[in-house]
Amino acid sequence: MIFRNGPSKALFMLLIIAALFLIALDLNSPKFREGRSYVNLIITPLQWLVDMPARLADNVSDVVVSRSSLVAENNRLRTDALELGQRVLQNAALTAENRRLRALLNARSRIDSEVRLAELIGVNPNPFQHEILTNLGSQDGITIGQPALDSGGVMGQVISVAPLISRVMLITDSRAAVPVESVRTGFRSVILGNGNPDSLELDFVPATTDIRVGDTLVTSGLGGRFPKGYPVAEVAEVTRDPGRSFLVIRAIPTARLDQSRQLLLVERPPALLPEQLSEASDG
Amino acid sequence: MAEARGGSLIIFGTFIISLFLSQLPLPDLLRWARPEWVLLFLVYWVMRAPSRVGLFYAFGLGLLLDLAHGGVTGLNALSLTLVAFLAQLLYRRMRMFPLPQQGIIIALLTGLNQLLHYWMQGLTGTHGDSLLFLLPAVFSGLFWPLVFLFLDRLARTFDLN
Repeated sequence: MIFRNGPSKALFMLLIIAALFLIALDLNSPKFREGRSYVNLIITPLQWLVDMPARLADNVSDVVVSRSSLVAENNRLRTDALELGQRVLQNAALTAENRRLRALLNARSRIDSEVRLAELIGVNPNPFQHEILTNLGSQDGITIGQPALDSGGVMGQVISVAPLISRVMLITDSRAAVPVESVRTGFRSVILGNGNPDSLELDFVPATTDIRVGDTLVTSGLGGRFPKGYPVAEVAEVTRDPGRSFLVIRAIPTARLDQSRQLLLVERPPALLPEQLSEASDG
Repeated sequence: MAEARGGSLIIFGTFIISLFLSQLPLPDLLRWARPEWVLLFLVYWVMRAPSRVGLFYAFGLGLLLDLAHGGVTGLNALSLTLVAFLAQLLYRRMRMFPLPQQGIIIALLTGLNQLLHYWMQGLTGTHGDSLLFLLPAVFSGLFWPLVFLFLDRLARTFDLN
């Protein structure tokens, strides 16, 4: 009946108010967002379905691959393995030496971080948000805030977890920020995403800072979210504008944000309690 | 009665397809050019079967889309309800229009949808500074004839009203 004389205005108002209520709730209540991650289960099949063509293509290309390219790949991997093995040997010696020196300095020794291998199953289609979906969720022990890495460096961090999947915000998202330091000079700063899929920004760097194109920026470990020492970006452009009090610095992420299908989710280091922090500053 | 229920199933199926299309990954170049598939399908069914597909459908679909996108809950529910309401106001006239003209109206509706999204992005602290966010409106208008012909064939085959 209600559709005979045009649409129902009462129903319209009701639904609009309901939607606004949901928006307000979402923006203000963390509990609500937590509950939402469970409701997300109903959409999970859709996300698997979307990923299927890519997975199928992967499988097909695994099957129909020529012998010569397999041999070539095998050779390459063998030389890689040799090279990496040699580097591991060196690494072990260096780690031991590092630990000794740190003991001399009376510093806490660094803990190796545990990682989980996750697979990418989806990309947020919304161009405002640089997010990817992985196939590990709260059932696999993933929690909000875990950093995500690939072989090149830091990719981002987990921002929401459903039982079977989790959502990783990439470092290029305009909401993302990572505390970094320069390998060459030790200069510390915070690197910000700017919504551009292949560049990052350093804000508020004084014009007298020693920073050059090609400098590697690694995580500084400050803030306690990202473990120390993983590469984040390489400085690509430094603009010194005399009219501004800060440098304009553009950096390119070292992780292959748009190509990696496998990523590593790092188990978070146990958060320092306030008393431990004061202990650390005293001693 | 059974026929009516079957028809609803088919309509629901097309909405699943539209959700699927809205989630397909695209290369970076085309990211901004994705037509708002769910909106296109919704407006078609509001035009074709206004007694079946209405505001409730729009609201529910919006919530599903919000879940899939992982953005602010209720944003798509709000914008799709608004679009469906406008479509209900316009559908008698729109049925008379030739396809390109319908496309222009679709583009306007999608533009409204995008504008709401843009404002909400600003409210939550993430916003671009270009007008690229209106690009889906143009592409939705261009894709409308395609969607219309596809769904029209479907609706005729199963005699849906």
